[in-house]
Amino acid sequence: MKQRMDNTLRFWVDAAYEHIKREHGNLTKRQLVAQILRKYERRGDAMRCLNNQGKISWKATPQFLAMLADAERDAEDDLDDFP
Amino acid sequence: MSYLEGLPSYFWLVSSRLKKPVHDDVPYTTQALREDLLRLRNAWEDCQASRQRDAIYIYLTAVFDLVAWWTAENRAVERARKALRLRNIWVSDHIEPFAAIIQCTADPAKVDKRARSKWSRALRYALVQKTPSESLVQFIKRKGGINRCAERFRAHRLGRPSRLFSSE
Repeated sequence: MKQRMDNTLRFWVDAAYEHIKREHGNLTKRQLVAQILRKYERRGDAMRCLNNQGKISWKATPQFLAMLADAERDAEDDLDDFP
Repeated sequence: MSYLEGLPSYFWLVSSRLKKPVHDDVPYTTQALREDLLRLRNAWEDCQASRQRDAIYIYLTAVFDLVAWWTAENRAVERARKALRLRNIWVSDHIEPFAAIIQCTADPAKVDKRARSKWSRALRYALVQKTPSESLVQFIKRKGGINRCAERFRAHRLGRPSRLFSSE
């Protein structure tokens, strides 16, 4: 069964998958995505919930969204520093 | 620290060494439960720090969302027991998941047993009656507020119409 995710989390899970897939050629994408979600959940970045259809799905936590917003602001500040 | 599109690697990097057996599913670990409880505790503190009249819904929504998916997996009581044990709270034979999670995450000095019971009944009413597409806040307000949802749940459990809302 495919893991349901919100768009923000999907983006970062896909990025992590691209990063590690070459080192785990023996594993399926589904297995690797499960490992990534497990890691994200353990560090408080991903959470499960019921979606609008009442199915269990994954989404980025408020903590993760706040960190992304901070990082985006930092990146914008860095850009402003360029002449 | 390396960067991807200007963002710190924290956001995308996960360990490339997988030492444990790999499964297709994602087991719900004790550490994940701890993180969920911490998030609810943060939601409690956020709602306490807010001056908005509806701030309590920040917390109640977080509690509802957690117990709702536990219930969908048919593991709510078991996980609520585990949450109580993680917080070193005595676990009785008959626990109610919403009340247990509120006990684990709200300040007991501000939420007594009676308030906990009322919120728990309102949330159980929402669990039974609310459609997934409607938000908890909308649902509770549409049904007349937290107190009335708690009353409706009591009537629903007894199998008779609420005396306050006998038209239903």
